[in-house]
Amino acid sequence: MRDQILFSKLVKMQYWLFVKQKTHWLLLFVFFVTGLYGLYQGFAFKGKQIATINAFRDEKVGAINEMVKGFHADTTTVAGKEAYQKVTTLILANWYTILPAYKIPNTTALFAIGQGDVFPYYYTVKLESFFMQLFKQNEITNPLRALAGHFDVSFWVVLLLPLFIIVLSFNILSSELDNGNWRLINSQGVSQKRWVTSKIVLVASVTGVLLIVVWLSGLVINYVSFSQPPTLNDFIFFTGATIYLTLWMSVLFLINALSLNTSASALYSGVLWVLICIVSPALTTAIIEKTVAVDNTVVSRMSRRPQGSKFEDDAFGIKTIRQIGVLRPQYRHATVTPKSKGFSFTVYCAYHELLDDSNKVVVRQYFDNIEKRQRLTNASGFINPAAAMDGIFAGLAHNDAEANHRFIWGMMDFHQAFHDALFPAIFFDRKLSESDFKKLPVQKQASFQHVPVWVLIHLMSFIVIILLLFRWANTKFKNRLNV
Amino acid sequence: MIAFLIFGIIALWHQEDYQESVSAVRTNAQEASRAEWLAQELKHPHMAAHFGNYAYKKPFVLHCFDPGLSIYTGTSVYMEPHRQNEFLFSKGQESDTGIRFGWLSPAMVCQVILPLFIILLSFNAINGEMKRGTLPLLLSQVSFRRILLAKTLAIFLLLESFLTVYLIVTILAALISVGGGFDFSAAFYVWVIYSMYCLCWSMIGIFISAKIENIGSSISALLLIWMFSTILMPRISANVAENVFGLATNYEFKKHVADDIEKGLDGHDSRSDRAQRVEKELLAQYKVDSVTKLPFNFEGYIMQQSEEYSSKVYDVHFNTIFQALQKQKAVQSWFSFLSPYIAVRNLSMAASNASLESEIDFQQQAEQYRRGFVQDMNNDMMNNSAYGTFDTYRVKSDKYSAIQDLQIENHGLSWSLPHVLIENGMLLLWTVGLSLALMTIGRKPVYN
Repeated sequence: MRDQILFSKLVKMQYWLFVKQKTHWLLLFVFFVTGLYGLYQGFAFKGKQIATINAFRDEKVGAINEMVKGFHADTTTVAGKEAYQKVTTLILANWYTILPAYKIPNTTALFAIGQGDVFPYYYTVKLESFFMQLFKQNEITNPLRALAGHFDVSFWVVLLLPLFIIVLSFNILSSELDNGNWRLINSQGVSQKRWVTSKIVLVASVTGVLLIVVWLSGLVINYVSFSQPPTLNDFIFFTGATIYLTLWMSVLFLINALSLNTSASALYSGVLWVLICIVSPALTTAIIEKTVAVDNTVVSRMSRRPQGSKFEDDAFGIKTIRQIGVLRPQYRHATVTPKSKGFSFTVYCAYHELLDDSNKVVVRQYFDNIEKRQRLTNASGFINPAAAMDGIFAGLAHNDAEANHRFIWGMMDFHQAFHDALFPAIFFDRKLSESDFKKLPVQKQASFQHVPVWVLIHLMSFIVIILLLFRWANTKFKNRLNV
Repeated sequence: MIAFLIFGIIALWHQEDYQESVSAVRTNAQEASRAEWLAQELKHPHMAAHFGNYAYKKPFVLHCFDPGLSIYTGTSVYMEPHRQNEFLFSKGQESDTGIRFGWLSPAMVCQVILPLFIILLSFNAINGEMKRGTLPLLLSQVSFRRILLAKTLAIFLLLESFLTVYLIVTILAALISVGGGFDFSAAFYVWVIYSMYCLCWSMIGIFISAKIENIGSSISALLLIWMFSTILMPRISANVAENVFGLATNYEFKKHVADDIEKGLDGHDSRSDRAQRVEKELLAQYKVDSVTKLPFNFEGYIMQQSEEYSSKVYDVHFNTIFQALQKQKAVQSWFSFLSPYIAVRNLSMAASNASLESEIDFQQQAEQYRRGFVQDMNNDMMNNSAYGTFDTYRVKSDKYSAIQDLQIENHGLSWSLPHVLIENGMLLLWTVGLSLALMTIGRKPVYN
């Protein structure tokens, strides 16, 4: 009980020492402002994405609604006839029916931009080959920003807050030893371990307050500006950030236990920061790149539109339509024949569908390898905690490769549903009707709260590292003479 | 020292290996694309143009030293009529999020890790002498300024010898693995700017060590300066630049392009008006009453006219994007006043043909090629086919091989330098400023 009281008094003393120094207030202010700036970057990025999605969706949906009015157009006028043909003629309908697919940024995207700037988050979807369309669309990426990196909350947590912790606690003990105050402190019955622990607790509290304020501000911004209430991902983000910062606390605790003078502490802390935040991510990424090869040239030429006289060839057409009947049994008894008006277009559509089916394997392999790279990074917490945590944050924000690919595969299902709406008319040789258009799908958004189990496993591994570091530091403190 | 060397060797090996495999893969892809182009069946020239061509970026020798922006921009483009497609498949899309912490390359070693090594060598160079009590002994032999100069030069020359060997080995390995043209002046320039950068950090280290008596405080200050300069400032500058000069989204870009092609660049010259005007002018010029009586195929002519107009529209909107990027880069360049890292990074990218301007130039060369081959196919249609024969006319068998494959012109240093004048000035300013600062504090020992 006596120890308990003494410890709380020690923390109070550390607090008093902390608030007395103006530089600490300046530090707090600087790091708080950088946290808010990170939040602003996330807000600006997410806001731009949502505004673009809204404009894009409204335009495309509006165009389809306008087009469907063609069914009721007055065909005695030139304009009315054009509108009617546009919606009932298969080739024209294929050209003009463009569905919007998009990925609305989730709540955690405000905190972690991740790879969100390099992946397109909206696509136009037409009846033709899915991959042909997919590998033709992109978002304009800012290479200058990609080179420098985002200044988002994730960056603030992963790289900057550890600096804040280092600056406040790298020399808790060594500074007292260096300036000769230690004897006085020790004469009050305070052990080295308790002195360091009390300061670490104070620094953890201050850092925690910074994190909570910025995180809560983010939740409020999400709710007020984007009408998005907090999700499980946000809470896991906060938990992950807390665990990561606790890891840094344990590192600093160990440094204080190991080093006996300020310069050694500074050196250890600085070098460790560089190792964890610069060297290890770069090395790990290099090793992963070498281990898991990714070759985009195998998919790059899928953007080329299939063409040629084969689509005019009856034998090729009949064979292709038979093949599509195997792949999609609903078209096994297709009634379209070489004598049908839209036969070559039907063959063209069937060929695209078959092409997608065969290309799917190659694309899946390509995507799988990219995802494997990310999973390896996320799992590298023991040697690469900064990049691993950053990867986990990007995953929670659905701003990593896996989320992007999940969006793409969802979009492929959407493309298939689009086929299911209009293909019956094409394969059963009839004009498009209004009821066909009523079957046009609406793209489903992936769950905002998709949290893979591996995230929790990786967070657990961080806790194991923390425990090991604290244990090591405890042993070091015990081995010191003045316990 | 050993850890630093190992890291440098790994970076060198990684980058050489990466560029070599990229070079091989993209050369194969380019050849496969070319083979597909040549093997396509004889068809109408416009349809053949729609079959399209691909351009794959291939690495230059100095990319093995500094891949710069080539890591973050698209790697291939599909070139077809009517539209200027964007470069797709950037490395960023294929890498894990770890790439945002920096791409391991010899340039990264020299820009980020080398200064750290200098800090480790210099943080106690002067105050350490003071602490050990050897500074008065040294001062009895030489002036304080000479001590500062000697310490700076000792560190600088040690790292300079590493830098020189490292650069030579990188270039030799690159010539073996990637091959291609080599610009000696660019390599020499890279050596000069990194030497200046190395000198700057040596002076910063000695300056802080001479100014701050407490060794713990001096190492802390140096590490904070390093973090501010190489980690914080580049991010702040890039993010601020984008906040000020934002880029359009692809949706906005495409919408503006489609609108301008449809309604005309001034908004009052619709596509059909333009076609009718061209037709009218041709009929008047050739004194005929029908396009079928023109001495060439009107369809081919109008196709090319439309192509040229859309190219004009694309030029306007791509230039808007390029200008925004160049303004962003200018903002970052001025930030190099606060960070020598930004200056040397931009200079290194420029010399290595991996700068913003090089990337834009590559896109423009690919676009010129696209316009050329589409025009060639349209001219074939115009000059060799009759009006209304779109479904029946076929190109001659030698037409495909007459279209040459894309050859990218690699610009030399003289082309790159005008784009990085600010950075050159800033690096010089840093060097001169730090020299003056060192000379100023060299008048007398600070700790006396």
